[in-house]
Amino acid sequence: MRKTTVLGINMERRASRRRLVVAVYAIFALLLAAGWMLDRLHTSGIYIYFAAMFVNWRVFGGYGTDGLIKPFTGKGPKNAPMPSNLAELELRVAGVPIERDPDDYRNDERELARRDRVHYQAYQGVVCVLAVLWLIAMWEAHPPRFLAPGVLAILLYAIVLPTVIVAVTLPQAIILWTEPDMIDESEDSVTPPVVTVGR
Amino acid sequence: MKTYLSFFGRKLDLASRERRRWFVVVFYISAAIIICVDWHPDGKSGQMAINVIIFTMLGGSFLGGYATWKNARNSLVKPFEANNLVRDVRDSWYRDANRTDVWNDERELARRDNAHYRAWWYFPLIFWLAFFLYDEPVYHAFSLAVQRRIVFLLIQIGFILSFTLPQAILLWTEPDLEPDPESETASTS
Repeated sequence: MRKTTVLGINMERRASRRRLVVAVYAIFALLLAAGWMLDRLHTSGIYIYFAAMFVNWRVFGGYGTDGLIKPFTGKGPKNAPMPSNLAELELRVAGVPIERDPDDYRNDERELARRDRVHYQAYQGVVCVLAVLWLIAMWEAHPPRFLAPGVLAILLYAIVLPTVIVAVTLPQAIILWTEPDMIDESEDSVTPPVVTVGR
Repeated sequence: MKTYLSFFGRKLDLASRERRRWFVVVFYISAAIIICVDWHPDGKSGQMAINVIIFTMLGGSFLGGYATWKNARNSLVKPFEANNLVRDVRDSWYRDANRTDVWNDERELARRDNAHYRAWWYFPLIFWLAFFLYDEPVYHAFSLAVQRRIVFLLIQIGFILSFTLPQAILLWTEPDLEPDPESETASTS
């Protein structure tokens, strides 16, 4: 992972990251329920989708340019970073390119394997939802008699938007949920084990 | 991955990548034909959904991967979940199969996961288009009924892709393989 804080909250512990994932999906559930009651997601659905993109961009990362997880593509940002001090500003004015730290966006071998594995896991879940949508779509073409007309169309519409949100956030959520606690390597290296010799 | 496909008693040699790519192209052209034949913009083609699931089951059994059942050992790609099957089921299904024909080694698991990562992109696209088109007529270019037929079509395409695209990516990207001696002798005789 690239960052360890979100909105100033430390995310090094797995419990914190799990709380974040639960909070994000709880907020989305509330937004979807509110949008459904407000206008049946006709207009509010667009805004909820953009909220999901914002979460990807600023909180989760992965498919966004910022956030906790490095970009899955491993590509650096197209724009150069903002100069952090006067020397960098002068270098920028002089035309010297300022490279972003490759550790910010380049995935190592373990992270690539992790990325692929969580996509495999997430794929299974989304395929199940797609199968349900396929079933509803088929029934809608030939609606069964025991269902009122139009129910399946509403059901299909109500499932699609939550699925969009899950499809753009689920792999990142699995990574945040499953990655272990981060250990501060500097602490380990500074404090050597104490050896006492008895006389 | 197997290097040949048993097809009506004949063995189709697919050891070279070029041949596998042709196989993938033919597979998806067949899927497109099935969808186009059953597509009626103004009608309700529930028959398409039936044909799509039959095609996915039959075609998927050739490709393998998600086909984990007993006859899947004849498919090109090894069953994705064979390593995780309950031991008794695995032993009864694949008793007479060679262990290496069914089990995925470390490299194959990594390739499987990477194929799913590459195949992931179409999920958000299809769901987003479905959400966008299902609600309101877009610039009144089509009627809402036609748009909902397009959503139906998208879900059918998504259904086929979801069960076949990772395997197709594997077949497309794996390098040339050593031809199987059994298929060579069969083709020469």
